[in-house]
Amino acid sequence: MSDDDLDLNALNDDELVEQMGDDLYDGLKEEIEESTRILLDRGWTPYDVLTKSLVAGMTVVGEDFRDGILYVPEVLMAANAMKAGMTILKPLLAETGAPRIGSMVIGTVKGDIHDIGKNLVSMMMEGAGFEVVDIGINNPVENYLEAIEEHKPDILGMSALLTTTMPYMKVVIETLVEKGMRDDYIVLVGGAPLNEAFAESIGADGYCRDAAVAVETAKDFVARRHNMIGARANA
Amino acid sequence: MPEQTPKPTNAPARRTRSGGRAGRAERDQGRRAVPSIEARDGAAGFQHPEKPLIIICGALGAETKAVLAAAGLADAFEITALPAIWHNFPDRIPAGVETKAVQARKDRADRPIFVGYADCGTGGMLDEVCDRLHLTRIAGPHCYSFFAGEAEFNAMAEEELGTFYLTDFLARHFQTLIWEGMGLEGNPDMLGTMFGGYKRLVYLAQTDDSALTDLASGAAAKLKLDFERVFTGYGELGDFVAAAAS
Repeated sequence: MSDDDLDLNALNDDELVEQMGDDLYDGLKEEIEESTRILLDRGWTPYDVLTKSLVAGMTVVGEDFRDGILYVPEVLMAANAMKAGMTILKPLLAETGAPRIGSMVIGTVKGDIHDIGKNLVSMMMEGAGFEVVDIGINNPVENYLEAIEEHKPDILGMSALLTTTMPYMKVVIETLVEKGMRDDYIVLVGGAPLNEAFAESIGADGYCRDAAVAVETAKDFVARRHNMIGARANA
Repeated sequence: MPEQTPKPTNAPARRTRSGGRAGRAERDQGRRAVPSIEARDGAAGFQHPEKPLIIICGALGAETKAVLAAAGLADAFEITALPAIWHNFPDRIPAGVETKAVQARKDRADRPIFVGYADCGTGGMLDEVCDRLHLTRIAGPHCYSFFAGEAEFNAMAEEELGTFYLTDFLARHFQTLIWEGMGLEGNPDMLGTMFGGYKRLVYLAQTDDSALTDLASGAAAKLKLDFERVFTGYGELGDFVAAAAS
């Protein structure tokens, strides 16, 4: 029997989760959908399916992308497969009151049409339990303001691939400062030409080297923010 | 025997299992390891410490040599190149330039060094290296801009933001650097996801070469983009070389 005739139903839970990791890595959407349904039928909570299979599998993909083993299209295929699983889980997660970590508005800045990295961040953040509003590419400051006023996210994420467009992030942050809104949001930035020093110089809260780092950084900042709010409430 | 109906060529092939991470590791075992910069240049050292050095992007080798030859400066500099594939990995450029510059000054601490890169997606990190080691780089954000001229390039970008650019080098090596280098070879169904924001491909031609124009036009067809050719010559690369020689 070839690998492609594999009967996923015949695997025990541990074997199935391991197989899901491989199938995510190989970008197999239909197989991930089938495995997700099998785990749910076996009584797994949607949150456990998400964290113990999909997110765990994407962590491996993220590591191998960071190490230059996987190419961008392969990571996109893996993220698409994860998204297929997420589509099944999302309504169930809402019904079962699974923990929602936080929310984010994300978009590529004005003058820039590149969205691969941004899309990866969106998918990985959703996979990690964030609610994500993606406002697309080539966004002037007005688009960011409109989106954050409408959705009131914890995080504003900005992406740029070009040396020539990344300074626009500063324009957005300065506008937030002028309007007295800067401290209402965690501002995270990312994109190939960016670095830690640039993020600091424009007044962002954090620089995210890749999608996996973005998820960890976002979790960290949101947890700190919730702790601060909790501390204020208890004071 | 009945003829088999051929599969439609534009339908994405069904992906098959290939063993996840373990399968990938097994398939990658036979890959040739790329020698480090130190391994390639370090042992022999530089050959002409008496000459100023130009550290160029591997994608600018032929162009730099052509400009030097045209100016009668073919033997005036020693030239060393960094991998052209770093076009796809700009974060490697600053450290690569620094390694070369430090090696080149081992024998002659005051050796003038010029850097045949613009910012090239390093987000100011190449400037940090250049400032610290007193190196001079080509002005501007990237090679498209210094070939076309900044004003002309900005006008093209303004006219169509979704423009993908090729130079002579990139047209010649499109298959290796872009199609295979970005991983599209095994995953052509991801083209829309990766290039969906682009509308046209502009080939910035440094030379009049119909074979290169054909390659560039073929690249545009492969990426499903409109095609345009703009002759730029060597643009501001000539000014950079002239300033280095003065």
